[in-house]
Amino acid sequence: MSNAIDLSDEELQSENGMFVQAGAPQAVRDDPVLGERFRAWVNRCRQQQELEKLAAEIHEIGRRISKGDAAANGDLLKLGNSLIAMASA
Amino acid sequence: MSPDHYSVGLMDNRPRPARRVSATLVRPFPADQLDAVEAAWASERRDLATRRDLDGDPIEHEHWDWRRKKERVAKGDTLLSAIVHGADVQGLIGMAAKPRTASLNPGLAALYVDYLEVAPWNLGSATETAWFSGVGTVLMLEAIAVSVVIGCGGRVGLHSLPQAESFYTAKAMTRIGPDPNYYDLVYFEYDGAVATERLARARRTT
Repeated sequence: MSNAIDLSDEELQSENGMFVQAGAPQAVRDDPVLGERFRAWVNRCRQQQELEKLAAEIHEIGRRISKGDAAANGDLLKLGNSLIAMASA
Repeated sequence: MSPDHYSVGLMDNRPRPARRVSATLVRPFPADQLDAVEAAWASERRDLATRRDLDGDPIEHEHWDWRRKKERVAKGDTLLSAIVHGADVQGLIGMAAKPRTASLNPGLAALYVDYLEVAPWNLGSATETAWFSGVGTVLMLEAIAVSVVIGCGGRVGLHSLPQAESFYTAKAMTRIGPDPNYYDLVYFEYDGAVATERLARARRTT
């Protein structure tokens, strides 16, 4: 087996525009103040991702309601209840 | 130690349609060339950070500076590999020479990826296409290959920046979860069998 690496076109193109960086920057590791700022930024990103997920879920339920899916009302209620629980936690 | 050179395929997205190009994987990448890499990447990284801020999609790695890794690379604490196309380094991966305990298989060792960065022109933005794609994927395959060489059986772990989590999920790594001991970044790990199968598939096509 050769050590050469040749991926399919599909796999190569699937990476296009994806962010791939890993590891905390050395400056962050060296500086506690920068480190805490970095941690706060990571958590803001996570909250943003959660919000985007919620928005997509609400959008999907809205789509199902507009199509007359009876079960969607129940799902919306469940989602609302879990949001209330999250907000009061 | 003189570096080994391996052929790797990338996709050049600048022409229409995009076309495959051959690049070179350099292992180990010499520490004394990190100054030149940083000279080429630093201003591009700052420009990209500004553009992504304006797009509402900020990045938080403009503090990266590969020159700070020179000493660790020279001492042998960090193993460095790079993908080179033309005169430019297209991506770099720094791996800890000392393996860590695997999360998926406690008792077994995993190679830890300390840093992975692709050249700023390969990240793209809302308004600009990434020049080359495949750089991150090939660097992860390199991590698997190095893991096998040092006796870790293909197991690889890393902490992903938040915007990169979907990339590592797409590459079949297992999401272990946020690590409170490492800035709450999410830790990902490759199971050895999954990883070695991916590497074998990429090598079979050559």
